[in-house]
Amino acid sequence: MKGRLLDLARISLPLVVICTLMVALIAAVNHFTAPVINENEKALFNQSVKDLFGLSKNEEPTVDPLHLPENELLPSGALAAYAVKMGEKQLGYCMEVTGSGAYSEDLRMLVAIDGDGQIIDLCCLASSETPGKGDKVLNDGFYSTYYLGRTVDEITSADPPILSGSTKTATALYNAVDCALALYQTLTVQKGDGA
Amino acid sequence: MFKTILKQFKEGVFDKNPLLVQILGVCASLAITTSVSNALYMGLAVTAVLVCSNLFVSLLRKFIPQQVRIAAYIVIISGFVTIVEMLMKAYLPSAAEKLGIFLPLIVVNCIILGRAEAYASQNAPFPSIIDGLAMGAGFTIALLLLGAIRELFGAGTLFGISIFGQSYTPIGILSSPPGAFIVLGCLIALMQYLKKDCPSMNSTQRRKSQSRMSKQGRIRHDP
Repeated sequence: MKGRLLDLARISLPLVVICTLMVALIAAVNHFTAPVINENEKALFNQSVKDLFGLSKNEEPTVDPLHLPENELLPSGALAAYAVKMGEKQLGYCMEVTGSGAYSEDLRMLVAIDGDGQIIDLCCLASSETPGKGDKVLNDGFYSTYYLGRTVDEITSADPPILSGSTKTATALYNAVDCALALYQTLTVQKGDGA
Repeated sequence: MFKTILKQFKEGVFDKNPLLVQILGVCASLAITTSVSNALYMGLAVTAVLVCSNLFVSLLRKFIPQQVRIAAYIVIISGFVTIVEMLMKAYLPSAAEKLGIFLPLIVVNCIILGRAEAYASQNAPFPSIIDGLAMGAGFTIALLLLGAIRELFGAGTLFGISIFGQSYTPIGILSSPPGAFIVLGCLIALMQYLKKDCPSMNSTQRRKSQSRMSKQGRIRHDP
């Protein structure tokens, strides 16, 4: 019995040491890269908001986070909502949502909606879909045809637009848009006079 | 010393090229080589993981018990893949975005585990690093060839720069997975031709090989 335990320890101890070493290495690299990755994500978010509302490089919009309801009214997949202004002018709203049902991880999307509930534009912040295959759905040519300028009623009453060979990604994109519009409606009801 | 290094590089790039001779790491290679830039980033990422994992495995080769060596190699490889992924996300975000899911999938690339088991676990750290560099160079060159052919004829561009002008009609199939298979097949055939494997095989070797295959029932000899 003692011999077997010693054998087990002799085999497992090196594995534990190797795992500890690798974890320490990853932690050290993460310590240096995490702030840079966060900065990159912030820059990507800011640039995406500008692109969604068609602003130039020099224009700096004000992006105010909106308070999300903490109850069952909050659609699943909703991450955040922002009111976007340029000076005193309200440009619209930006919904940060995830689209479930993708081939790989959930899509993380930004959906820009104007005061009338129409989709201005949308973009993908993060996706792990197959390059050249699933991510075709995320190209401007596909989604602009089906989603831009549509309202919540038009989207929910129609079948999800599907691209052959990228069915799952197209479904995830539909779910993300659906979630963004549901979030917009929730916030509209909450405030009574607009999101 | 220099001759040994040169020999290792010749093996990695030509004699034992991971993609064109050993046919390893095919899945990611076919998927990612729609453009030369993707191929370059993938090749460099795999090379970095190969070098680091080879060095680590070589340093720990006397410490890792035989029974758990594969598990240990996988832990080491996945650790370095995670590190490379974090570094690329921080300093080459657009490249990390382009490689997508194939970046973490380097973990299951047979080349890396194969070199850890076949070379690094039996050799000193320095030759193991050179082996990682040589195999990585061979893999990167093969990916670049594949990517260059597919992008050039499939899209008419190289590194995104138009080569043939607006009048060129791209060969669509080359951008799709079947095109990748066709180009890879042609490159493997070209490699075999360059190596002159078949003509260099002497008559005794050929007879032995045929005899072995006929015993296995794969081919029949006419009387």
